[in-house]
Amino acid sequence: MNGPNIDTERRWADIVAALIFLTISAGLYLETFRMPPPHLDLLGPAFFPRLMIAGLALLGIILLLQAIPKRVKRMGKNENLPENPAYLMSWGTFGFFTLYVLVLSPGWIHYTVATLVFLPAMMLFLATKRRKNWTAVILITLAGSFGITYLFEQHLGFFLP
Amino acid sequence: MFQIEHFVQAFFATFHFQLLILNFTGVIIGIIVGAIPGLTATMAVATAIPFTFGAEPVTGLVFLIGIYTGGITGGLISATLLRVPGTPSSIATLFDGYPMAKNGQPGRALGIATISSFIGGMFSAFCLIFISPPLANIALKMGPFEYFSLIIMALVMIASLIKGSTIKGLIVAVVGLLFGTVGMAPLGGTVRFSFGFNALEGGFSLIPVLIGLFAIPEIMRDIEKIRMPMEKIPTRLTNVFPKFSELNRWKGNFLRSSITGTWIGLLPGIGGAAAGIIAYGQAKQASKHPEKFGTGIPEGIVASETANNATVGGALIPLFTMGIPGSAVDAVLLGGLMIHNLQPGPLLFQNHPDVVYTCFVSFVLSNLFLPIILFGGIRGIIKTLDIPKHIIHPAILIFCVVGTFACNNRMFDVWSLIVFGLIGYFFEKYGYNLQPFILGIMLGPIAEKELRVGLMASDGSFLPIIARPFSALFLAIAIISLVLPYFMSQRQKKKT
Repeated sequence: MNGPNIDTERRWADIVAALIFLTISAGLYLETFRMPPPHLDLLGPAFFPRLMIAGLALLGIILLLQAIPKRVKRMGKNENLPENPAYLMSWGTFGFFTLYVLVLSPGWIHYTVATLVFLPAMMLFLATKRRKNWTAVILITLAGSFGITYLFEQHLGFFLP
Repeated sequence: MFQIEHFVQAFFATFHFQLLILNFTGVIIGIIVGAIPGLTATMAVATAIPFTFGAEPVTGLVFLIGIYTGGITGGLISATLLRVPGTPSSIATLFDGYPMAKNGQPGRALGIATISSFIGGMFSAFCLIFISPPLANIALKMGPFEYFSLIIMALVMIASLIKGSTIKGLIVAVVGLLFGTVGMAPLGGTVRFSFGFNALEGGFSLIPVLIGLFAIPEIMRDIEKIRMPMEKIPTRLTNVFPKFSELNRWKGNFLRSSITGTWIGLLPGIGGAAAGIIAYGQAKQASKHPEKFGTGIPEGIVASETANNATVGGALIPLFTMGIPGSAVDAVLLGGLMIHNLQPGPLLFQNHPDVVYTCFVSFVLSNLFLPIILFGGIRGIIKTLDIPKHIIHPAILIFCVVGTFACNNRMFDVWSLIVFGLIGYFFEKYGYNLQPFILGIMLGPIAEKELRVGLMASDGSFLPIIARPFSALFLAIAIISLVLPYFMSQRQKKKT
């Protein structure tokens, strides 16, 4: 378990997480009052969620108490993190991906067309300057859009967004 | 007991051309995904589940088992050649695999690792075939309280034995259990926590949860490391096959590591990485030359690879007999079974012995395919290590969307994928392991149903939970696994 030897960044993350868990517990506990009273058994539909909510709140408090130690000692760098992590690329990918799903959502653009744009854009975004392999980008794009559409809609009988 | 007639039927059924091809393909896909650093067996199985959706349950499961077996094994390639374990299970393989490869013997390192994986996998497959049926018979005698306690035990064990903080493990388990309460209650059908969304009335679909938790965070984490250079050892593959005399010399190591791996696989939460490290430590202790470990000694590779592959069969035992997955990838496989309306547990042996035994035989076959594929196609598989990440990750994201949407034909599931992806990313980033979460969301509804059914039978009395022997035993194990790590760490502190 984490004792007082905990780095400051992780300590603050734990405090924020504990507060989030406590807030969620409170919100969900209030929500359980909208559930009907028991009619099949003694416990009813709200019992188990309340038990879990109580557990989450209790664990949240323990996490909070653990994260506010009397002595705080800096541990230096977090060893789990890669050196110089490419957060911009990682969150950029997530943003692109969310945008792609957003475009597919209302059914404005079919999967084939959206993928025809998303795949090369994504691959070029992630590629380093020296490693842009245009043949691979084109082939993967065609396979990912037309190939998948053909395979799923014609052969496997699935719908695509 | 072991049903020989079902086993024989399954044996011949598995030799159907289509199933053989699917199993073989699954193993190849698994090995390739496992070999690529940053992609794990868990992600491979999770992403493949939607593709089995339209198939017969047996067909789909044979494919998934192939991927699982290949995925755990594939990690040995990058551990040996890149000094990066392709999957966490291969972490101990790099201690001696990489130095041996660097000393000019990459072929020998890969050959020893392949044979060891095969022996560990086969040992655990036989344990799976012969231990599971009697264990399922015992499990049949369990009532609702025993099941409830068993699930609690599994959750607590996973939460306390995984790497990191026990409190965080328990928090993740409870959050998973809470997500499992969304939708219709197991008894009475009351809709809970739908917050006015019709799509939430049926609860979260398993596919977006599994893919979201195990694919999206993995891709994001891997992209964060995209600039990190990787040194690949030139692969002149010679001397690949170990000599028979060498294999004979290592037989004690094979047996010890196989038993260790299978036993660790049986226990929820510990997993292949720990099994490999523990077996490596045992081999070092038993060796006459412990100082040579870490310099490229074959015994180190044997111990790690035998043990990590043996965990697969070991972990499948509680999965099939009691519906309790031992690791994240087993939890994903449990999802694969549930999606095909198969609830693992003792009743599966009674109601679907064909499925159970076909899975067992497929697992044996997957292990047989391993050396064939690795010895036959290792040069081709090594080339996949050169596929750039900017090509792989967008392609996987496309598969995530297609697979998730195909299950229910609704975009809500794709949005769930994104939400669970974010949850998974932040949980892992701040030290919360995802295994208890996935176990909680899948087993939560079963735990609730068993508890409520049990309480209906006992007129509302909670006493049977501690009064019934099996139930009390499971809870006692849960409590021990919760407090034991704390006392052990205190003891360690006193010693130092």
